[in-house]
Amino acid sequence: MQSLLYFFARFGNFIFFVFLEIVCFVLIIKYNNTQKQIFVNSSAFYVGKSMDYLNALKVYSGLISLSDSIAEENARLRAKLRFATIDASYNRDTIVDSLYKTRYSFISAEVVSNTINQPDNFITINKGQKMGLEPGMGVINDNGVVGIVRKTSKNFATVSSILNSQTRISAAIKRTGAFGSLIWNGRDIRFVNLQDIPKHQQVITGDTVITSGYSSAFPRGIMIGTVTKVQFDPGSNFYDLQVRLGTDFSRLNYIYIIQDKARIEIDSLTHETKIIQ
Amino acid sequence: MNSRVLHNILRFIILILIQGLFLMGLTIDNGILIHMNIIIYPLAILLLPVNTPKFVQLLSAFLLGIAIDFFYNSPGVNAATCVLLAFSRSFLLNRLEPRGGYNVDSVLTLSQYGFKWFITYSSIFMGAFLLVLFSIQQFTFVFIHLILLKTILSFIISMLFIVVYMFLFNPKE
Repeated sequence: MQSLLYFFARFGNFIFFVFLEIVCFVLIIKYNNTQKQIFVNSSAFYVGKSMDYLNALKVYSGLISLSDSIAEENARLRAKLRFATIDASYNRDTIVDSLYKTRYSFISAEVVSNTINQPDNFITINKGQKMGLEPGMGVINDNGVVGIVRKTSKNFATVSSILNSQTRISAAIKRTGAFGSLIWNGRDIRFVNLQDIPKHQQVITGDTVITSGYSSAFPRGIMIGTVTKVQFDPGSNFYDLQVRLGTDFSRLNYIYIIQDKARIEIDSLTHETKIIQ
Repeated sequence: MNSRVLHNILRFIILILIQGLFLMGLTIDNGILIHMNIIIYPLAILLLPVNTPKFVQLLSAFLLGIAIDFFYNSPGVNAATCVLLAFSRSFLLNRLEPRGGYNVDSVLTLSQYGFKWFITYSSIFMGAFLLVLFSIQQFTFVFIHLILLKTILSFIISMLFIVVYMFLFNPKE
């Protein structure tokens, strides 16, 4: 107690000084537009930058498991490549039809920050408007769906992951094609719930869940996970399925953003239809 | 003692009114001279008696700055500068202590310590004050040349006004 009093006697003025300066700067940043803009922009810049550095360290320490997954992905890509060549030659032989142009392109990006312990989790990635990212684009990694781009700045973007109560992803059972929407209940980062699948559909444990392709964020057929528990509430007409995610959100490094070239066309069409109704 | 406190409070109010109602509107709309601001209100902190409790110095500097900010419509900018300068004033005073020491009870008068001492003290104080003030106003060192230009121009005119003020009112207490 005495040493505490001594501390205040000695440093009280300094603490008071720091306190007043903090009050002043809060006032400055809150009520002066120019300073506010500078503060917001530069803090975003520095936070992004330091996250980038921190992540470089993290990536380095995780190189071993990363090289494993790269090898895996390489193998898978090589398998696809054979199809690609056949497909291309086939296309070259027939009429070049603009309809069969590639609809989706993929932009690779690195995760600079990621949360998993919040009720609403966000991921920050190191690609932004400069590389053509827009809010609403889908994000995947080589194990499955990750989330949807929420906000973009020049060089960075935030992604609301599946582990976010605001994220709704249209998903389907691969075997039957029945579709519903994917919701996270906020408890376990390994599981999400698939809802709105009507009871007359047959669902069994172990069924693969994929994206339905009904939104422009994801093409059809991207892996989400597998059904681990089939249950339904009494009195409800719909299943409540527990799905084990393919993506491990606790170690997320490299992701791909899906760019849908038909998105503007589809969106404007939907919009027009709504206006007519 | 009471009249001394009263005098200081009165000086604060007078300086706020001079600065806010009169000097704020005085600008020369001609080339670079538009960056010339006449700022004399820091005189209220500058003249405080040496033995004023640090706590009182900081608080009064904060209130002074906030009052000026109301006139300038820039909440916090002047207050932050005032508090910083009030805090570092004692270091400056230690550095510049005259041979006979300070008369700790009274304000720092022109007659007591001489013109030369007062000019040294007030120009260091005002120079630092204006530099900090314009830096916080711009909030980025990208415009460092503008900050320096403003500081130099305002420093010259403000010092002129401060000397005029000191000769006119010649504060004793």
